[in-house]
Amino acid sequence: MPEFSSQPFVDIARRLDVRGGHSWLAVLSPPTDSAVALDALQTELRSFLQVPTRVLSLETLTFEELLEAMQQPSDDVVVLAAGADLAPDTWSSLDLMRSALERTGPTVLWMAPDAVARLTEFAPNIRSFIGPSIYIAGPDGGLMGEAERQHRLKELEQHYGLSSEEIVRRAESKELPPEPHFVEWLILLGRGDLV
Amino acid sequence: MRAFNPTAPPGDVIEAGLVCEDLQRFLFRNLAGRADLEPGSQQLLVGGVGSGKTTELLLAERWLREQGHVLPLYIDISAETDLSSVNSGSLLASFGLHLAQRLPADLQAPTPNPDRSERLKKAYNKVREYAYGKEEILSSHLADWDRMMQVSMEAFRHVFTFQPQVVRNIPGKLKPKPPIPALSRDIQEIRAPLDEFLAIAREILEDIVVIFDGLDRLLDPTKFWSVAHQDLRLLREIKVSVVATAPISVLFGTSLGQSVADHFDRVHHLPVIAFDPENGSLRSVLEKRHAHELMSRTEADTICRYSGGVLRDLISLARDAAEEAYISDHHSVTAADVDKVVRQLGVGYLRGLGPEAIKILFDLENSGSFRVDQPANVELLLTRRVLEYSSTDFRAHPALLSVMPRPEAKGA
Amino acid sequence: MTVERARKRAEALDSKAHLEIGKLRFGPPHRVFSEIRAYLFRRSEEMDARNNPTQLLKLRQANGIALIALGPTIDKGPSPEHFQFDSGARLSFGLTLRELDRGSQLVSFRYHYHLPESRSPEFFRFDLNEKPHEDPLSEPRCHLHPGLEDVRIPLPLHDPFDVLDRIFFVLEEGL
Repeated sequence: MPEFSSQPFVDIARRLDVRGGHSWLAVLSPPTDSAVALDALQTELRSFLQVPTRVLSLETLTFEELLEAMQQPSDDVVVLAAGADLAPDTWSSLDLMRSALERTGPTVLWMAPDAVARLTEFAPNIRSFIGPSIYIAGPDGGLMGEAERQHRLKELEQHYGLSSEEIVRRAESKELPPEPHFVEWLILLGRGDLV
Repeated sequence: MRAFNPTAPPGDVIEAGLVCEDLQRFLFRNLAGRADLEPGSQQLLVGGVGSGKTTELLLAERWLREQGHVLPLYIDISAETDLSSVNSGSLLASFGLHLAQRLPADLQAPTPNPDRSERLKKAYNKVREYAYGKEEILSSHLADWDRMMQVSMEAFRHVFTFQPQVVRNIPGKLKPKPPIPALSRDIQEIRAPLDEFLAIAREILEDIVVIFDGLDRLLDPTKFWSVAHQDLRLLREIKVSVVATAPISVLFGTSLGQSVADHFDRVHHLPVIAFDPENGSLRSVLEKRHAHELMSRTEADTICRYSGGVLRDLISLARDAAEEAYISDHHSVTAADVDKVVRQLGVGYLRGLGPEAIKILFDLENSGSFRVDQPANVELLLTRRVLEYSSTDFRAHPALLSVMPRPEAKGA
Repeated sequence: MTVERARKRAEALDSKAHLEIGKLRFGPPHRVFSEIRAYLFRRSEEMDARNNPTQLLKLRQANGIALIALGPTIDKGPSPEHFQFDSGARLSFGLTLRELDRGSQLVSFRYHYHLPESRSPEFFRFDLNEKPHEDPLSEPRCHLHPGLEDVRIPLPLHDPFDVLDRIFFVLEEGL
């Protein structure tokens, strides 16, 4: 079965940024740690777009509550969270009120991958608004990999002519100079406890 | 890239000059002209999701306004009330409120008329009560008559220029209206205040045309009819012309849809536009938005082809392809960017399709046969997996076809 | 006016800076990382030089302490890992944060802005040491190297974004 494209949250933010107002897109939550991922998405959107980012649960809000929440204010970022179990009737109701949901700020639909079928089936107007913009939550791309960590350690060892073991020993004896390189060195060694 | 926003308010897009008004052979003039010439007429505009219905309706509204003797009221009823609850009388309630908000400014120029104002005020209060119910009036949210008069006078300068939803374009003056609740209403109760409004309105204007958008969201014709039937009957009695959207299932599907269509003086179908590289009408939609600044003609044609002629899909694909190029740090849209977004669109349509539906789509592709009386097939139309180019020409969405798993050849 | 008096004044100044730095609070390290990345994206859009902050900026977290790094740890010359400027200058930096409550506290930073060839001075480096030195006159906790490794001028800029602002909007603009 062909899959949607995976996007890191920073690229989701960049897409919303370049689009300007009145924008919709959907992000498919990971199968595990969905709440952590949602928090990371919220952080990224807020950091990049420099506007508050609110999460609204579609499971719990009434028509009137959702309407009010979407418009007060209408220019920040709203993430609508929809679980895989969101009932067809709820999707239909959401679809019926699509015009009432229009706002100047971006709207991100955060949904379980299994919910896409229901979106298309029961909310074709919202699906039309989203169009091709359905993305799988992808890895950040900013986390330092092992190869890079090793490379940086080697740079430091060569520059200072000291082994990492020696650095740890000096840190434990409180003999390390206070310069930033040595703090980084310990963090790269996983010895942040010695900082 | 911001010219390619498939979800921008259609009114903004029209004002920005990004709409090809002749794309649907000036259908909006047919709609508006008939509504103007035949007071009390009722017309339906039927088209699939993303086919450009709202744009045609707003162009019709603008055209009517330019005539000078008609008061057109564009109302997106799906934004005003919860259509998921049976809500008889909500069309009339919304119509009454919109009329009440528009009339004071129209009628106070050039000279104020206290007697007329008093009659309007009484009628407005009755309409408000009808809309929100006796215990439902939230006076802190709803404008009282005097405040609304003030707002309406400020809006006066917009009355005869194109500005849909005038009240919402004056931020900070009125709090957002609460939605019209789903109440059990006696349709005839609103007759008297509406008659009052109309009598006053017709002293200076010849006619009122109301344009109801959003009813097409009621995908099932039964639901559409239960919301609209009684309200439309009264509107015909009081000789207000109506143009309304309706779900595509009114045209294709069960006989109920046909009987609904029979209640209207004219049913206009807004079909999907077939891609024809010689004809170039789909390409003109992109060119109007300066697509040549972002992509070559080859990429534009590929986007046109895989949009299937669904206007919103066309704009979305163009926007997303440009965005893909931006994210990937390309100087312009490449074939790879277009392929990616076409695939994205196709996968979205593919999700949730079972083996039977996939078989129907392949049968359609191979033989052209498609039975619109089958509920499963109407479902495919409503969800845009199947597109209607005319009442007899149906095709699977090309983006979907491009990702659908092909059945294995028998005997291979 | 003896060197002893100078040292005492330097100690007072350093002590004040140390207190101020200790009071600074930032969001959780991942948020600071996102904010710096967003900042670099915005700057990238304003320049002709091509930089991809997603590829350049890295985060490593362990034991409640985080390193945000861009470019080589030791600048030995131009590299694709540097952030490139239109002037031909290049930037590499490392910033460390300690998680505290639900935010973070600054531990150290180094921002090495290397000027284009034949420009003087060769570089500016903004350093924040992990803790005060025993001789704050020669090594204030937060200091600027004006192209000389053994010269350190006290620096009142403690917020990482204040340093970036001076690099992008003052140093680069001045070239």
